[in-house]
Amino acid sequence: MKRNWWRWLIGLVVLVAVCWPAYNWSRTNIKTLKDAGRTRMAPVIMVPGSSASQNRFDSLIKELGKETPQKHSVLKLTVATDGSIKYSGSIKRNDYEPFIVVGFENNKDGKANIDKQAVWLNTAFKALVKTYRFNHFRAMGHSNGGLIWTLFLERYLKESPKVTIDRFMTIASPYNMESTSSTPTTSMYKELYKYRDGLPSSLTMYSIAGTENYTSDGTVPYNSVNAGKYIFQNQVKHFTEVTVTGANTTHSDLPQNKQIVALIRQYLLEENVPNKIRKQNQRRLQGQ
Amino acid sequence: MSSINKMMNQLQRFDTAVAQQRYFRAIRDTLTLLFPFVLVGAFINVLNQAVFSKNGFFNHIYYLSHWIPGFKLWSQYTTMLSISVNDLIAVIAAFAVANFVVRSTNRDNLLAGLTSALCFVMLNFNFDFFSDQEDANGSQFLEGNLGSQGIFLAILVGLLTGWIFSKLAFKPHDHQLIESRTHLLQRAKNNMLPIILSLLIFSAIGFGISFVSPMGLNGIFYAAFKLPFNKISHIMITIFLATLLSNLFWLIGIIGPISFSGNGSVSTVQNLQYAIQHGSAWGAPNPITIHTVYDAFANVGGPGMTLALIIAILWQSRNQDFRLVAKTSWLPAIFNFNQPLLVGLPILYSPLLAVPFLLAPMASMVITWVALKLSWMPPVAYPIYRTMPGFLMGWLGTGGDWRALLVSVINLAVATAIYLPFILINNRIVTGGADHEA
Repeated sequence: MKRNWWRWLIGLVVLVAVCWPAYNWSRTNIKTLKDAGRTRMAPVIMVPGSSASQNRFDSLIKELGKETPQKHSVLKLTVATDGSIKYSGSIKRNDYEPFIVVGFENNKDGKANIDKQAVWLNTAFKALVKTYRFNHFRAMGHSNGGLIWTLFLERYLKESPKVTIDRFMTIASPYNMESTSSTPTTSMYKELYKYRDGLPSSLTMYSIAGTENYTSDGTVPYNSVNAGKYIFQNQVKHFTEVTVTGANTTHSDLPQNKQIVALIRQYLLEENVPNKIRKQNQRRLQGQ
Repeated sequence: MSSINKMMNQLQRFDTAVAQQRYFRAIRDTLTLLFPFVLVGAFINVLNQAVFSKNGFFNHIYYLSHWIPGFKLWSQYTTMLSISVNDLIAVIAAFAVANFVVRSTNRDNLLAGLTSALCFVMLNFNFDFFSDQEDANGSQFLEGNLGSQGIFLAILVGLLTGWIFSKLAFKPHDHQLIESRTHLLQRAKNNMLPIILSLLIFSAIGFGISFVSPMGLNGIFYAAFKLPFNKISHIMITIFLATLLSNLFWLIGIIGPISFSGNGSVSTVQNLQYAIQHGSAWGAPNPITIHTVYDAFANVGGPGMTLALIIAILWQSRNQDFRLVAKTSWLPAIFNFNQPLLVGLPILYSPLLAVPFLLAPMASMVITWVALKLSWMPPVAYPIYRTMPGFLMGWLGTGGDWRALLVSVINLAVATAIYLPFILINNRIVTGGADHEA
């Protein structure tokens, strides 16, 4: 009888020693398969703010290109008011993470224009998916470009059901327009807030605010950027706000600000950045 | 109930009667003779395919290739062992069958066996060898048919050669303890006619077959699977027929055709794509395929749910031969290598064990089908591999769904229940009569 008892115990131990790693393996395997199911092509799509052209990010891209190990080719799109698209630049054959800048012929400020620009972004986006056959991408918006992206993610991304967004970063995006109030009330904000359920729940999102003084970056009030938390928090997986101060923190300088470039490299592009930049970014995230 | 009992008894009597028939005895003796080689081969297969293989179960779960030094060399070494031991087993079978047939008629069994082995290999000549094309397959024999899948053909050749020797060697063979050259030459003279006749007959058959089937006689057997099963409207009937035919083939010693259909078919790939995109196997486009029903749930311990047979034997059998075979064969059976049981018990050519061997997988497939139809569990969509323990396949193939594991366990229990009465009947001959069971 005693011998039998031992046998059962050994049997049980062996069973657990097989089943537990087997289960773990199957989870890892599924994850590997999932990653393998994603296209190698994963562009970084950028939308500039109002009154800015498709060339708005040239200095940023140049700045990014200085240290990044991999050169990104740049494709620029301009969407006309009738939805037709003009292309300039090109994506190199072996570049799987190209930069694509989407500008608009009508790039004026104001809620009515931003609503239209989100629709045009959708037009451009669908054309890009069709041409380059990617199923995941990263998005970056400066100023009102961030609002256009947010509207797009809330309302129009579901029209491309096979495409998912990996990361999203907005730089000085005024979720409450020019209002300096700490309680957001503008119609733009209300619209963004109303459709927030549509945001992909797996989204990792970074909102960067620049401050020249304690209240704004000279153009966009800090409180307006800060209003983004009401839209994103509890809707997306990760929402992180970063405040950047110091030299070159006026609104229009922000995209090529060295600190922001560092943030873009580590958090949007998920590059393997040097420890110096990593530490600097870490301080920034904790210091806010 | 009594009519079932009666039928079972008749089956047992038939089984015993068959076993006493001369040619059938030769077959059974041969299978038992093969047992040690097949058993060793099965353990080699476990090492080669479950441990030292890219898709081996143990390599997957313990990441062996990452930390075992010389993993690739181990893989090559065990592959060499596996090919040498397992993939030539039918040649031994051809030798042994003719040997046993002729021995019982007191003729020269050694020469008959050797002739039979030669004839069997000749039937598997690769006629592609003569092809002028550049990409012609260079090997001289169809090596694939010399392993366990060739046992049926080897038995046929052995029986026919044995028959020829029994009829045409006029002088009885007198066995000598110490052979002399004179006696050996005498044996050659006495058996020249059956040797030449056997070689002539089988060479003619082999040559003739080459015009019909480039893959030899075995190629013709496998052509049966290209029958238009898929024209049948209901997919479950197709799956039933295909697996029934396959398991029948296994029973007569054509071991191989669809033992495991693999992860490659279009419907399986579609299921995988769906599961990856949606993060779950629920609602996969092809819930009922031969892969999701048969591979994953009706193949526990190899075709015929043979792990259930082992459980039934170890639990209830009083047949010491059965117990010995089961005790030595359970480990490979966990990784779905059941060949030691097929030749050891033997299951091959046993009317008694053939019935549950065919029924148990059918029952498992019905249970699985019902569970899938009623959405009790998601279908198997993630890849499963041949050497995964059978009762874990459903669980791992659904990405860790406990209900699938439960269905596997139920299947195993039901299959054991199906095997059990046949083991009890077998007990009666061992204990010498149907006294207390009825």
